[in-house]
Order: sequence, then structure tokens, then C-alpha cells
Amino acid sequence: MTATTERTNGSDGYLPHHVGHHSLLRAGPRRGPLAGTRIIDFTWAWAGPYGAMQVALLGAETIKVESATRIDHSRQRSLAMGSFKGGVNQAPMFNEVNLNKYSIQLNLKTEGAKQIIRDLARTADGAIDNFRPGTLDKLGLGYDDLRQVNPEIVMVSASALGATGPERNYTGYAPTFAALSGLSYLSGEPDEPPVMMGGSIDLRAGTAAAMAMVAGLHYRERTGRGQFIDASSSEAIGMHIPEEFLHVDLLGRDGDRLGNGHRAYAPHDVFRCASMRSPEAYGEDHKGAKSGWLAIACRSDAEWQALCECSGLDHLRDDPRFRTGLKRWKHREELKPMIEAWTSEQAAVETAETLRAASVPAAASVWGSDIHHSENFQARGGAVAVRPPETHLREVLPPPWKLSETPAEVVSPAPRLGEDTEFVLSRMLGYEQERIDQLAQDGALE
Amino acid sequence: MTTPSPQATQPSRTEQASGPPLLDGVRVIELAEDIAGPFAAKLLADAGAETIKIEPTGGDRARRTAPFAEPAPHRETSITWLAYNTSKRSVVLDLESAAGRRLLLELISNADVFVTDRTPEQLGELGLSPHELHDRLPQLIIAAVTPFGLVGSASEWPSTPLTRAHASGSAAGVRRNLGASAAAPLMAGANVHEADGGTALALATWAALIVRDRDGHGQIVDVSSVEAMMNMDRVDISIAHNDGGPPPMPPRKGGSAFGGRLECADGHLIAVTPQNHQWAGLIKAMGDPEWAYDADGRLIDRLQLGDEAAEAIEQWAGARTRDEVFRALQVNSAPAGPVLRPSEVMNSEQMQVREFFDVLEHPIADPARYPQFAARWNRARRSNRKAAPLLGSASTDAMRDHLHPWTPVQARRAGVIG
Repeated sequence: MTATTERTNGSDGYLPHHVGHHSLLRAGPRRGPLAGTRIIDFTWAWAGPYGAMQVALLGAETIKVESATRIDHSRQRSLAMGSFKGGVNQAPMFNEVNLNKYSIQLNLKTEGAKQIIRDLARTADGAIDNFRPGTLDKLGLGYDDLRQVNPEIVMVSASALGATGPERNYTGYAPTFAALSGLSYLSGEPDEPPVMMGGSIDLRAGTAAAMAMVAGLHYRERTGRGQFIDASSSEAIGMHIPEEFLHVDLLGRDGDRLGNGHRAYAPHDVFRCASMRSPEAYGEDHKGAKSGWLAIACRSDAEWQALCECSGLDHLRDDPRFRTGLKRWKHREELKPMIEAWTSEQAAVETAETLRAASVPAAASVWGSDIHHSENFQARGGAVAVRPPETHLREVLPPPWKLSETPAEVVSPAPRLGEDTEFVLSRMLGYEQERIDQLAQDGALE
Repeated sequence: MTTPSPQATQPSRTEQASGPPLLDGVRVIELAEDIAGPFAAKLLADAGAETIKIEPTGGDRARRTAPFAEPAPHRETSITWLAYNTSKRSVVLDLESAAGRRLLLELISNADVFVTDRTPEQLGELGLSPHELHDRLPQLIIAAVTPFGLVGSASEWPSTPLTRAHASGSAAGVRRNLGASAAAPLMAGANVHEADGGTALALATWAALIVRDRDGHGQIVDVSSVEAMMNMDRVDISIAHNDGGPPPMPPRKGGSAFGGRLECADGHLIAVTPQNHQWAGLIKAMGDPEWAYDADGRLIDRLQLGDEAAEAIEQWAGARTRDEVFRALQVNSAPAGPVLRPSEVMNSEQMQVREFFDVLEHPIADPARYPQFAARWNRARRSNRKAAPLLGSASTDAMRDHLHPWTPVQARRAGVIG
């Protein structure tokens, strides 16, 4: 079950199927809590764009400022995928973190483009960037420049380590944010090196930046005052793990890597299964994983006994090694292969259902299409189908919040590079065609 | 052209901020335990919202979660409890009793936001079914974070942080970054996946407050922790679903084209150089080794370099400390970061200069450094944060401040602990 939002390539631009066409808003009316808000989005890579995208999902009209002279490299490559062989409008990583946005193509080194930004800022509520601190200031487009034309603007400037301090000019990506915050050190198996973290770290940093923007907009709503917000992506990850810092000060040492384990519970792990689903669950078009893993957590003797009962591991229930929680935890390495001997003949999804029905916390470890196929995902509305220009129909995850009165929604796919330049200039800013042509001739729109 | 004002270089010092705290005057009632719900309410409380946490007579489950600041378990010194409940007040109510439920409803009626992690069934038992509550209190923001959401087929499933991390794809996402050698999907460290549900709820609640302040309308915010986690990996999940899966991960050797984990003399370091100028910076930091250049003195396309380059980078890093490699790379614009222990994060000059941690005093546990929100506002001043409250320590005050005059008898019936 998917809602369909398609973007056509005709001159009318977006024609979302479920929301109809609106004369000005090419992406259809936005109903979210930030509807009526305009944001200038200077971000690139992953963290910043996802931050701005959340604001766009919440209803803000979000205008991404891009340039072919300094292209958002997520249109071309990523840490996880390496070089992307398709065109700049086809990169899935870009298209996934830039939904709901407009794209205006500007060479910010030209005076004409700077003037466009100032004109946009006059009409905007907020601006967000994730350049190295000071980059926009050097272009004459920093907070102090934008507030000259709009004193109430809210500006979030997110950088690797923040805009102050001795390391303010250092750069980074998700894996370094995780390393510098302590999370990498804590991630991994106990007897293995710390883990290099990936894209999810960027999206957490983006979430903190989005929260900073929303907090700034809310503050402006209440006080009439804009402000500058200096956000640090490394701190954003540190903010997610407060107990680890208390661990240091109150216990006098750092915490440990636990992998899938737990300090007190056992079994508490993932177990290899024969398959993800039972063979009859696979239709011809099934795209999910064939191999399966099952996560099981027993927090009490009752859950352990229930596990033994419904798994055919009844003989373990009376085994003195596993009788109490402490004993199970001490003997967890012996227990694991015994449980795996059973799971290795089962299908993960169906076995998880059986265990949950017996009140044992359990879940198949899913990914990709198996997430899309899950019953609860479907029951909560399922994916949203979008068709980014120049590529195929994609089913994307809906926003992570369901708001009953002002719904956050996917209303359009990610834009082509500069797709909305003319639209923004003529329709949003009221520039005459002659002026637009001159700007193009002067190289401002590159 | 406008002339940059003198503030341009130092606009972000919090000392300059003199406006009221972000959520000054906002009232929050929290009925939640463990991490996701309390974290959402903590983010609001630390921003200045007056936040009352309703606890059952035994307290939030997190109070019983090891480890504890003291050798023996103590309901006030669980690390998890202390971490996720700053700046709140605690009121104990016996919600088994009708009087307790009535007092809770009265507290909620006087609030702007009701944060909860109770399932639809549990909310129904408390007489707080979200849609009925919304009809009754249309100005209230009902902010719910539950494992699988308020609606759907899984709202009552038993689950734990482990099973949620795996049900969301988050654990498979961590495995993906380990490269081909990794077998099993793996949770990230600390409680970061659970925290994702909290940040998602706080963000949407803050947005709902804008609507509420503008036109007086509250609403139900329904966040599924599992979906919040899922969204953190939405890029790779989408590629797996829509593009037949991504190509295999590049080898995670230090010298691989796009970076990786390096082993330095005193621990690990991450270097990532997806852009050509960053790769050039790494080569420069190494002293321009010959193997990186062709006969004409041009940098060789790094994708053409073999394992020898990776080994050379590993050898170079291995002979140096994390800090030496970190600084050498960063001054040459090559993104890098040492894998810091939490204690090293706390002691880093960068975090100290930015005052990311502040010391909070607690009546029982020792003073400790607590992380701030990850941003500095130049107008809203920081609120006066406090350590987590003692169980029931605000019961009497909260009753006095928030309710109509009440009698000790009524309070005893409601299970209030003063």
C-alpha cells in the first residue's frame, strides 16, 4: 500500500496525485506544522541535507542552493558506495535526503547570485548550512549579512565540531563524528576493535540540526526574535549517549563494547536462522533477504522458560547452568550454540512471531525490502512512491512522525540540479524574464 | 555589499545570550520510563520547559537499571536514570487508584505537552486513550513514543532495545559498515538506537508547539521508536529496496579510496577522504610519497592504486599517535577523527572550550559532567539545568502549584509520596 507522489517533467512541474495542483507551490500544498515557513538550504553531503529535509517534511518550503561549480558530492559519490556511475540527477543517496525540496542553481561567487540570496533571505524564515565555519561569511552571506536584510531570520550553522574552539576549522563526515563523540569506541564486539560508523550518524547529526532550527523558529514565533545557532555534529552524537559520560565521572572508567550483548541478561543476542521467511512466503517478486537472523532477549526467568517451551529447548530449562539469570549470563557462551542449533532450522520472521506470541521479546533482523514487507510497516501506511526525474519509481520511507492535525508528508521527490531556478526567481521573487536572462548571461546561475 | 559587523567573528558565545530560555513557560507532563520517552522530555526540560515526571510508587524502571554510581544498587543513582531525567521534577502517583488517575488527568489538563511511552492498551486503562484525550483537551499536544507506534498491528508486541534495533534495520546498518567480513547484524554502542526515538519525538513535539502557539490547536504526535531508528538508515534501506542493493562495501583498509579505520600507535583513528582534494591532503600529510604520483608528477587516480598504497598509509599511521595523525590530516583538509573514549571526549580542549558538558550537583550521587544539547543559541540563554530528581521529591510542590487546593487525605488516596 503506497501513496503516490509523482513529479512530471512537464512545464507545470509537480503534479502530486493525492494532493492536486496548486498554482504557486509546485510541490503541492504542505500541511505540516511548518507550512508557510520558508527555509534557505545551503547544505550538502548527508547530515545537513537530512536536517533540512526534516524541516521540509514538516511542511517548510525548502530551497536548496546548489552550484555546478561546487556540486553536492552526494550527487556523485558516497563513502558507502564509492563513485556513482549515473548522472547527477540519478544518485540514490542524494535523492533520499533531499525529498520535498526545490533546487536553485547559483554560483555564490558572483554578485548576482549573492543578491538573489539576499532577496530570498528577505522573504525567508530560516537558513541552514553545514559548511566549514566562516565559509558563508567570506562570501558575504553569513548570519550577520543575512540579518541586515532580515533581522528575524533564524540561522543554523552546523559544522563538524562547532564554530568555536581550537578545532572549529576541522572537517568531518559521519565516521569522524562518531569517533570524536565516543560512540565508535563503544560500538563493536567486546574482543574486537571499535567500529567505524556510517550514514546513520549523519542522519542523527541532521536530526539535532533540524531540532535546533525548529526550536529557533518556535522561539521566533514567541518572541519575534531571530538568532544564530551554532551546531556541532560531533556533539550531536555525544548528546545521544549521556550515560556514557556519567559512567566516567561516577564509576571512574569508560564503558565497554557489548556487541549484541547485555550487562545482565542472557540470552541476549542474534542467532543464525535457516532463512528469513519460510519458503512458502516467497512470492516471485519477493526481493528480501534469503538468509535470516533472529534477535532474542530474555529479561526474566519467565521469558526464559517461555522461550524453552516454545522452542523445543525444554531440556535446557532444568539445566542447572541456565536456571537463574545470573547463571545464564555466566554461561551465555555455552548457551548460544544450543539456541542456534534450534534457530538454524527455523525461519526468522515466523519464529519471531511464535516467540512474541509467548511473550518473549524477539524480532527478525531485517533490512531493505524485508522492512517494507513487514506487516506493521504496511499497517502504518507503508512506503511512499516517488519518481525522481531521470530515474525510476522509488518507494521511500515516510517521515518518522505521524501528526494527527498537521501531517508531515513526502510531497515531492528530490529535485534535479537547478530544477527550480526559474521558478524561484520568477514566481517566488518576482524577477522579470529579462533580469533572469541577464543573470544567466553573467554566470550567476551556474 | 553590506559591511560585516564586528559580531561576525564571534556571534555564537552563549554568554551573549540574554533572552529567555527556549521553552520558558512551557509545561510538560511525562509518563514514561527507560530511555526514549524520558529522553524526549529531558530535551524539552533542559531547554527550560517545566517538566513533571509522573512515576509509579517504585519509580521509573530506569532507577533499577545497572550500573549504579554506588557499589550497591540505589534507586537514585542508576547511571541510566541520572542521564535521561535531568531538569525534571518527580511526582509519585498510584495509577492503580482512581484518585491517582484523576490527579494525573488534572495535571495533564494544565499542561502544554503530555509525553508518554505507554501503549494504546495501557493508555486506555488509565482513561487516557489518545483520541479521547485529544477530544477532551484539544489544546494539548499528546506526544507518544512507543516501540511500534500507537496504531498498527504491533503496538502491543513485547520488545527490548535489542529486538527493536534489529526490527528497524539499524543493526543491519551497523553491520554494513563493517564490510564483507562481518557476519551477524550488530547494535551500535551505548543506547543510541533508543535515543533515536526520543529525538524524533522531541523534534515533532517542538514543531507541534509552533502550531499550538499560533492557533491554539494541540494534536497527537505518534512516533514509533522502530521507525525513528529506521529513518536513520533510510538512505541505505532505500538503496537496498529500490536499487537491488548497493554494491559491496569498499574494503575498509586505511588506504582504501574512500577511507577507513587506521591503527595508530595508541589506538584507532578514522580517516575519510571521498573528495579528491581531501585525498591530496592525506598524501601531502604523509610527506608526498612517490607511489602516489605518476611519472609526470600528477597524483595517480586513487582507484588505480593497489593494496600497497593501503599498506603504506597503515604503516605511516601505525608509527604515530592518534593525535599526530589527526592534526597532520586536518591541517591538510583531510577529514579525520581519533576514536576517542568517552573520558577523552570529556577532556578534549574542544569540548571544554565549548562547554559541552556542565557539572550538575545531585543530593546523593557525586557531581558529574552532563552533556548539553549540541548547539549554542546566541539569543536564548541556557536554562538552569538540574540533576535528576529524587523519587517523589516534587509531589507536594507540584500538587500545590498545579492543582486546585487539595487535602492530605486526597493526596494519600492518590498514592502521593511527599
